[in-house]
Amino acid sequence: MARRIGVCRALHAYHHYAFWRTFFLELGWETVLSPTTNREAIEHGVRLSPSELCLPAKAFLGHVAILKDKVDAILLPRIVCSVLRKDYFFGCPKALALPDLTRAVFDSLPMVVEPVLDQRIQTDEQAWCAAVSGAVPQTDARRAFRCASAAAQATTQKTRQQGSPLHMFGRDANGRAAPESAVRVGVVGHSYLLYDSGLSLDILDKVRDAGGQPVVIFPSDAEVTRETQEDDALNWYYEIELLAAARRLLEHEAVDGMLLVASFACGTGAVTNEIIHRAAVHKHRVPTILLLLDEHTGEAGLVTRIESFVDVLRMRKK
Amino acid sequence: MKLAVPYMGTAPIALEAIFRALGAEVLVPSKTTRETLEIGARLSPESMCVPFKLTLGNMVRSLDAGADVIIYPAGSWSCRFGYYGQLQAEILRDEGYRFRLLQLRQKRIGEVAREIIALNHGRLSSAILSSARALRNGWLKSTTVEEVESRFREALPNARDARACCRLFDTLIQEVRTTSSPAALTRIRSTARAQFGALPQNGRTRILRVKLVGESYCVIEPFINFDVIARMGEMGVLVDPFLTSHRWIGFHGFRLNKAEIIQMRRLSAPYWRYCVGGEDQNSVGHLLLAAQQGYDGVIHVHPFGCMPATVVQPTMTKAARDNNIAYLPLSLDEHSSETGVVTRLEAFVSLLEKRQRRHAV
Repeated sequence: MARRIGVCRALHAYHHYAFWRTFFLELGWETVLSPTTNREAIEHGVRLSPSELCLPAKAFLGHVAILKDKVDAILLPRIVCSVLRKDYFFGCPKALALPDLTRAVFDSLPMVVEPVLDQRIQTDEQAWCAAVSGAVPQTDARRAFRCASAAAQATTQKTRQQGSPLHMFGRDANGRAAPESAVRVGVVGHSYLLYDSGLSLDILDKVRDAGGQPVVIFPSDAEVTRETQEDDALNWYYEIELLAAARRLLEHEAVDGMLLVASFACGTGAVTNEIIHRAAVHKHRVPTILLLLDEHTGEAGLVTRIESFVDVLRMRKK
Repeated sequence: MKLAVPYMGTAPIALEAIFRALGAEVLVPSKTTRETLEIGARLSPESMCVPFKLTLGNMVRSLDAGADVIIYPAGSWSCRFGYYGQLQAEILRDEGYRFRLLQLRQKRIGEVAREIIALNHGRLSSAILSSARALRNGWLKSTTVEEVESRFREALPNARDARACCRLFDTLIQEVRTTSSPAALTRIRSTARAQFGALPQNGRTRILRVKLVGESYCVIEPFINFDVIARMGEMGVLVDPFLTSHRWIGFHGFRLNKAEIIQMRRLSAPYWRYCVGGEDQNSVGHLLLAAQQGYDGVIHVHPFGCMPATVVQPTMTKAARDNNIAYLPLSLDEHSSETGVVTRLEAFVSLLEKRQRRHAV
């Protein structure tokens, strides 16, 4: 039976959309992707969520609101825990609770496909098979999982090469080219913020407009593993990626400044950005700025701060 | 070595006894004040939650008072708490403080054991003996505190003079803190009920009952929740916290009471299928349990920006609506004003009274 499954272009879609699309394609389902976050999604989301939730999670609920009446099923992934070298690495609490949150907010939802990705209790393959167990035979699900895993690996490679995950959505990777003499600004932030023009207001382009060259790193597996081996490493997988990216920026990329981007009330970000800030300012003597985004962020304010930061970097370079 | 224990409600009383029996010199920070919070807030990253800021403030005060070892629980979980001790230590070192951080963490249990042995001059047998003594002393103090606290909560809404009731509570807690004889502790425990019972009563017939749920630190530390238990008690409402200092040590220190955890998991399953920390599952479970047990309302306290407590809120609202129980969420941080919180509590109490009258008719 052909189904239309709704996938929100928010949060982990910026990491895993290639996997999701291939998985459902192999099952013969049609994937309906919500549009890039727009005013409507944000307004819906803000109305539905508790006020203290972070902007990307609010937007996620907005995407669900837009999709839910147009599809037969909706994907609400529960990204809990990865096991790397016998150590546990979690998603953030909001990602862990995303399906419960969505169910509490909406009175009616289409069929929910909820893979519980918790490697402490089951492999990812088991999780995905269980998520669609009522609807498709297990052999089909297993085959789809294998195809999707292969696709995901290829996509990750491509993301690292292009320096942007946007190719997953069929969009051009980088905007305008920066001038040669530009100051190099290392940008650290979650993909679902940096590359969602509705949330970050195309922050990378704003850096280019101000005369900077944004450098975004997608760390390799080895770099991520190295970060997990640190003494008392953080236990959030997606934050570890940011730490690995920051490390490469500071140690090998010779950036002139660091721009940290996070959403207001991002709990994990409060810790990660403090660590990166300390490393950048105290250890590497690199000027660092932290920009917090929320639904009240005005474009003019953002531009002013980025421009003045890039100006400072340029003056220091001279 | 002078050991600083973190401050949370009445928990330091038992912790102090434990570490003292292990042979360490313990420094209990003075009661949390506005100033402590300001120190903590100044040094912390802006968007950290208020327990982080408050414990950091307390560490500064302990270090100023001469402590040289800080002990802190840590662990790996999706909540930020597991990483607190280390980040706080870094911040303090930048401030120029010199000390050693002793993390109570499963991975580092060996380190803790070595530390205890060192305290006993390297003798394993005496280390084991003093550990046993420490556990017994700690347990005795902790259960006594628990008894005094629970008698106090029951007595306060009935007391004619609330202030006398609070004074008696302070006296008894002070006694527990200072005494070290097991006999004295047993005496306090067995006479607490009679002592509170002897206070003049105000003749209230039907006492409103409210369950206090939420993030552990906010539930247990009266400074940050504006002493919600005593305040509501003065208004004639019995507030029953789902977690107390004693239960916290038992719950998180030794993982006691597995049956209750399973019960909460079962109860909350229709609404909340995955525990993410911040006492989310317990909060949902205890809200549903309170509804079953005929409580009049539930107050949910959490630090501003606490990830699990924020994400659980729509679920709490929905569960409360479905089960027809009054629900008040309170988000707390260093900017919370006493007047604001008290106004909301008063409004909540009049709502409860109104509901009670409606049900009585």
